[in-house]
Amino acid sequence: MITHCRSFAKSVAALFALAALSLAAAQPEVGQFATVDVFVASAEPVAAWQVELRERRGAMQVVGIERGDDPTFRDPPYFDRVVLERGVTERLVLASFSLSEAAELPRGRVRVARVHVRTTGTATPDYELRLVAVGATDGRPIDAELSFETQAGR
Amino acid sequence: MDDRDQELETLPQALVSRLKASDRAQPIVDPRTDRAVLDAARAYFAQRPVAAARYRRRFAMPLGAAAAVLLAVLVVRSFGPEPVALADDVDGSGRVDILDAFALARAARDDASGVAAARIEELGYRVVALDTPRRVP
Repeated sequence: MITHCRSFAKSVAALFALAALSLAAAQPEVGQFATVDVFVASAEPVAAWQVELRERRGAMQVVGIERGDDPTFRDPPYFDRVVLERGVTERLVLASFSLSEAAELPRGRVRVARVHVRTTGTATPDYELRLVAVGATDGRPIDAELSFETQAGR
Repeated sequence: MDDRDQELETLPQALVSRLKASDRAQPIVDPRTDRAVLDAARAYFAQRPVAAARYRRRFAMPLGAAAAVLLAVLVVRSFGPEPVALADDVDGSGRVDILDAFALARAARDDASGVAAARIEELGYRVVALDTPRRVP
């Protein structure tokens, strides 16, 4: 009798283990969340900007977008909301402007946007940032440098 | 002697002889010659429609294709979408970007042109559209 009970217990345990493995395999890969902060640096106050963010492998999933540090810019920046509906996208265009006076706008290197992304797989994302337009308070195009910083687990 | 002979007698003899020679030299069209000319003309014009049809067939396809392309260009230019650069290039830079929406926003702020906020939003979203122009969400 005891032998039968042990065999039954082993069978039940094996079934549970199998079920657990099946559930784990059925779970979608959660992936990792990260942020991509976009910075614009210019000698003049930046009143309008437009950039294009690319992930060279085309495996970027955008889950959210925020404005940067200056609260006078719209939140979030202009972007095509179709990127939130897509599973992955290879590019994203961001743009915004502020009607504040030059004295109220920050100078130097300014974070203008934060992109929340989800990455899957083991490959490191390969981002590329392109400057489309930067303008001063009078609408005049000005020179600027573009950079970005990524942080995982945000 | 009739009147014509009397007139000839009054003319110089040299002139009379030339006039008589001219009367004798009137060409006489022989019926066989007439028939030969008619046959040659019929033969020539009988071949002509065949040659013309051959030329028509040779050039029909290229001419038809050229006409179709020309028609398509005219239709697209007349009824196609308005070039974006012309409609939305507010600052005249030759391209449409956020600086154009910014120019509209500054104009609206200064109340110089009565630009609607919806127009600014629409242009702002259009410059960031990934595929086709999208509506403001």
